Amino acid sequence: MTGYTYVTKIDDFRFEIPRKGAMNVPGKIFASEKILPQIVHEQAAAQVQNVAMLPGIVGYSLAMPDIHWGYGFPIGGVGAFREDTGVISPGGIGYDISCGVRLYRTHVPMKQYENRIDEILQLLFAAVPSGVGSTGRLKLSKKDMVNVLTTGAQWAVSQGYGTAEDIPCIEDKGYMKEADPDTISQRARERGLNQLGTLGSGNHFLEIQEVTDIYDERIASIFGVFHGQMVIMVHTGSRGLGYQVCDDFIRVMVEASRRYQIKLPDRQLACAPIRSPEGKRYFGAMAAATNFARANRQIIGGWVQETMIRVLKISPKDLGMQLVYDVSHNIGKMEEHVIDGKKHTVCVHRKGATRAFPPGHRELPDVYQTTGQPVIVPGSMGTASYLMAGTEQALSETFGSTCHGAGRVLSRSAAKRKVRGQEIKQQLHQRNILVYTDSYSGLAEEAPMAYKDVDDVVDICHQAGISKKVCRMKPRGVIKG
Amino acid sequence: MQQPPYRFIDHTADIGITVYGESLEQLFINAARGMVALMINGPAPVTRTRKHTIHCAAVDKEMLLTDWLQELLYRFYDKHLIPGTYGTCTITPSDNNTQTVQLVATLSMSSVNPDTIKPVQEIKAVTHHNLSIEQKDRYVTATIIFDV
Repeated sequence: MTGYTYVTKIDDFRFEIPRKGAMNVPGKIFASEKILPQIVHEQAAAQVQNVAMLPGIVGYSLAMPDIHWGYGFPIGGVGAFREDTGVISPGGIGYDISCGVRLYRTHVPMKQYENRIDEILQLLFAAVPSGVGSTGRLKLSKKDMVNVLTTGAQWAVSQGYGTAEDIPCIEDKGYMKEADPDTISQRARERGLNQLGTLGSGNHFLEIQEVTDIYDERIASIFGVFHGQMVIMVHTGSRGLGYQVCDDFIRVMVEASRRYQIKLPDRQLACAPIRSPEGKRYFGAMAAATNFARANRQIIGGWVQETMIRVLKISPKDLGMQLVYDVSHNIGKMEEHVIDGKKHTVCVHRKGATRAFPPGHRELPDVYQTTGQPVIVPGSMGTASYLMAGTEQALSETFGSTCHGAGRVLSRSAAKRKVRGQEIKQQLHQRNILVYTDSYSGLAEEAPMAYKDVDDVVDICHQAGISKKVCRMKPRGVIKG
Repeated sequence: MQQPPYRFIDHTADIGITVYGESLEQLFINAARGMVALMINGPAPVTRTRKHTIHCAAVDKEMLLTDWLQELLYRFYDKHLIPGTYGTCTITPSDNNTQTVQLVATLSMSSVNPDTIKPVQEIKAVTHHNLSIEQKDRYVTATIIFDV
């Protein structure tokens, strides 16, 4: 028992919300006794129940340990819906469609350049547009936009950002084939036109990190990471284009929910049957916005590499900046999963959750067939990040999903009441972490105290077996969007 | 009890406002003021100011509210326009089969230089989370959560 009337303990890392009332399936929260009270207190658990009420959901309405209150789905929520009888919901994917993260390794030990981080950050801050309303350096034509929406990171590579070697290490090889640019509204295209190649704001960032701990030497070696290594992490998404797509389709789905007589516990869960015209259109639009996000991260990666080469006066070969992986954590995917002993095609909604496929999965590139998919888990600003690997347990229990980050515990205004942005910058500086930002207010909102302890979150996933720790990284330089 | 036009509220991941109005139209105008107050701290340096008319239509008044606010967000981020003085705002049933309610609002909007105005907060979207416009005593009220 947990002390909460509607949450029961399965084991040290799993808690169940029994099926009752309008729930079609039970809920399952991956957590610990330590973090469960916060989850229940802020009603994130109630949102897990709401998701369980949607038609066609299978297995469990799931929540990862970084769960917190969202709108509709909780952040950290996972729900899979049968293709034939289930629904697709923009609220289960989020406004920042394909917000995601990529990690680059290098050949370089951090200590070789640790006295030049300030210099590197200055130039990166100039090279990669960031901050509220940031606009990009690219001039996209209408034809370019169609290509971006259709082929995502592959388009970016064709334009000289990164190399073809990056493509196998991007989820879906850089683009979702289901993308339908015709479903993207004129307004969404306008919003995206001058935002491609921008970090944005909020919790988006670019970090130079140092690998400080290796937990699995074999997998780390195949991922190409070593102790003391300089690695680079980029966290951003589909910018204004994605937000507009979500908004456009929530409108469609509110009307569709009425037409298909779907009872909604929360309007933000507005949805339509996956096979309906509305469902298909949304999936095509979401896939196109995903491609935009992947192109965005590919372009930013290209600029990071150019800048590093220029400032360090080092050859590309000596820098050795190569993509470990790029994965989305706000996305809906049509996947085949075994449910009650039979294979079914389901639409897996991951909203603040990361895909974590195991060794041997056909979606993974050859190089990761023996390791499982790299899972990149950024911590809160100034705290650790993790590189993990996908597992069989995740595939069988969470539709191949795991956590995506630390998860907030404090609202933005509460964080700003407790600390000022300049204080955060000084505190981080005292810990050898340099920060560049356009917004001290935004810095305060992203203070480490506003988030759960990422070590706790990652440990829960590791102990529960839904992803495996490979290494831990510490930030040395942060560009906060 | 006298209510302010809006109050900021806490939300773990995002931000929100609870809005009050003595009429539905007043609620809509106060919601716009509250949203702009979240984005911009204090008076902004503006250039050209012109009168604008905004039309929206939606299936219900909650959707209409989000559409109205989204329209203002679009004009701010993409056209670099901020609301100034609000003129008339009328909300009436629509003639359209699928849209049951419509809004026509006039307001002055001013151009701002995106290089000199630094919004405090980037509002990505107006969410529909638990959005419900209700009559409480003599006020019409709604709580709106914004994705940031």
